[in-house]
Amino acid sequence: MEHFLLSWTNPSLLALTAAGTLAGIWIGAIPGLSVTMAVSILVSFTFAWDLNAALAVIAGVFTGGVYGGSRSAILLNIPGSPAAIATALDGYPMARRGEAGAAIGLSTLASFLGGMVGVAALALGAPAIGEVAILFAPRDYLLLAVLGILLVGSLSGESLAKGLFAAALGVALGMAGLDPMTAEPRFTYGSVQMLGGIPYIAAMIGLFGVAEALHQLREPEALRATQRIGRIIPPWPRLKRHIPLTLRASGIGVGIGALPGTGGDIAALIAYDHARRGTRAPEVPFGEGAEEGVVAPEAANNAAVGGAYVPMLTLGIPGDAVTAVIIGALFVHGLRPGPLLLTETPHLFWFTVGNLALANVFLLLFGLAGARAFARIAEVPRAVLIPLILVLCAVGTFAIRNSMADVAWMAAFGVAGYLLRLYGFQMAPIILGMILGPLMDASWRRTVIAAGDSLAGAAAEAAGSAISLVLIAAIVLVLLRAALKARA
Amino acid sequence: MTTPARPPAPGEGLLPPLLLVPAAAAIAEGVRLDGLVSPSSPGAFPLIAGAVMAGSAAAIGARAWRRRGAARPVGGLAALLPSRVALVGGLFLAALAAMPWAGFHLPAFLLLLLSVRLLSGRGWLRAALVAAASVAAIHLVFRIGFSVLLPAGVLFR
Repeated sequence: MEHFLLSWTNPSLLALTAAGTLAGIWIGAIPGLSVTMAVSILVSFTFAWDLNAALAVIAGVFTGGVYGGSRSAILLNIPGSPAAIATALDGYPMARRGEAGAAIGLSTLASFLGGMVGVAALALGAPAIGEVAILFAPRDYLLLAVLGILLVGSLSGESLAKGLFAAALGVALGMAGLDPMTAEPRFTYGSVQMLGGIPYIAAMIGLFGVAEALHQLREPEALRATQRIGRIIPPWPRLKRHIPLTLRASGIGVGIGALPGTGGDIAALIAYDHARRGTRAPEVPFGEGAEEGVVAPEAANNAAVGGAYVPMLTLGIPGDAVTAVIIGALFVHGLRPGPLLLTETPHLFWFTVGNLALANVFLLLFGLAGARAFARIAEVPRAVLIPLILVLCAVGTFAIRNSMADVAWMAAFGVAGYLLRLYGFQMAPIILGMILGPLMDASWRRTVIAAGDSLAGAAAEAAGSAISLVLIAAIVLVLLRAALKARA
Repeated sequence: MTTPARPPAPGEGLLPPLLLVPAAAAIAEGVRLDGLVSPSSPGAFPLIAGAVMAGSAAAIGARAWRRRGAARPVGGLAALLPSRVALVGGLFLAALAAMPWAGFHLPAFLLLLLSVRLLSGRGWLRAALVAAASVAAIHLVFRIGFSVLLPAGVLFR
């Protein structure tokens, strides 16, 4: 309880969580600025900070950013983040009808409730999963990492082949430097500078920051019509009617968010579909401004935040691209997400739970109080925003180790990421591969060594373990599903 | 969630052979580090990563071959690198290249000034004010507020 309440009672952590949530809403409200981009740039600035302070800001930005995407979706019909795509379907028609305030009020309250359900699921579910995860052998970590990469590669991209290529490329890049087991140089090509490996934070900023910013320049500046904001908090009977749907959508959000490789965007779309099918007589048809069409996706995408933390903290496998970046941040601070995190540093887990709950409270406060102010923020011109992001990418990368070599890596990854995106490659599998590559390599070698340097022996050991068999079955299912999808 | 079908980008036919380059590099490194000799050697996992890359590149090539003629690539080099992207990207790289000797502030100011002017199409004065205010804000927040070091450069030391 003491750690749960730490960020609630410590003034500086309270302020940092508030600032992070505010910044997250601001970033999320701006079309084109993704939460992943914001967190990846932010991670570099928090490098020298106290861990709790860094986690407080990151949790705030994540929570606020997922919610903030609904602002521009409602007011401009431009989702601020992929998680707000479903919100635009009915949020914008509501705004056109003159009910922008009600749409914002409903989205804020649904996001808050969904976020709290997600935090509760994290608090209750993670320790249970963590207890099972302690039984994992090195081969199970390898299988889990493969599963996570496959899910990210197959769910988020154009094709499984491109997802796999990106992940394998990331794994190879992640192995550059001295081999941790034999100190043999790998992928260094005689360069002394390469012995330390490729800085993945610089790669992250390049792929998610620079590449994303350059891609934004390809899009024409959208025509933006300012909406009038009326009453924000709808009357109680109207709110009460939506509570059951909000809870059901939150459940969907938690479940989808906890699956490695999925995230708020998929959760929101599934919840929207659930609302559309489950609402027998909406006052306004779906697609024309149904309140249920705003409530369901907003509850689900914020519930998915808590859900995404579950596999990240218990298994060390990210739930989505943002948690992949947060894993990077934890590594930067010397932590290793996984089952041992819960047993060795339970205070950190409970701090994170408490902090996410606090971020949701700030989301509610800022979301309702700043409804009119955030409407203006969504209209910041891209002509100012994009160059500023590029400059911040340079500042953030330099801040990691005060090295211009890191800045050069960031620029190289930015250009490569821009080109790869043009050809339908996703950035998340590359980063995931870079982060999980060394873990996979070490787990692979430990597994093989334990089996007497024999692949057949390692396979036999896996066949005798229930956990390994479940993971192998999951991997086969993902591959089969991807193969069927490719044929369709 | 699968992204909607994307029209082929210019030069997409050249992609699979290009993808084989990093695959070949990883395989070569794996072989050099005894990846074929022992499954627990430092070269084993690079070899696996290289093989996955090569297999994926082959699958990407096969898919592109099956879809050949279904849709033509849209535009040429301009579609790959529109002038806005080329100019702002070029300015960004130039600013980064200048930072080791000119420090952070001047290259960042010039990058912002030229990019804002180019992208917004509005006057120089407005762009200069935005650029100056942005650099000042970054200095105040990051250098003074967060004690983050900014590239110093040798020119103004």
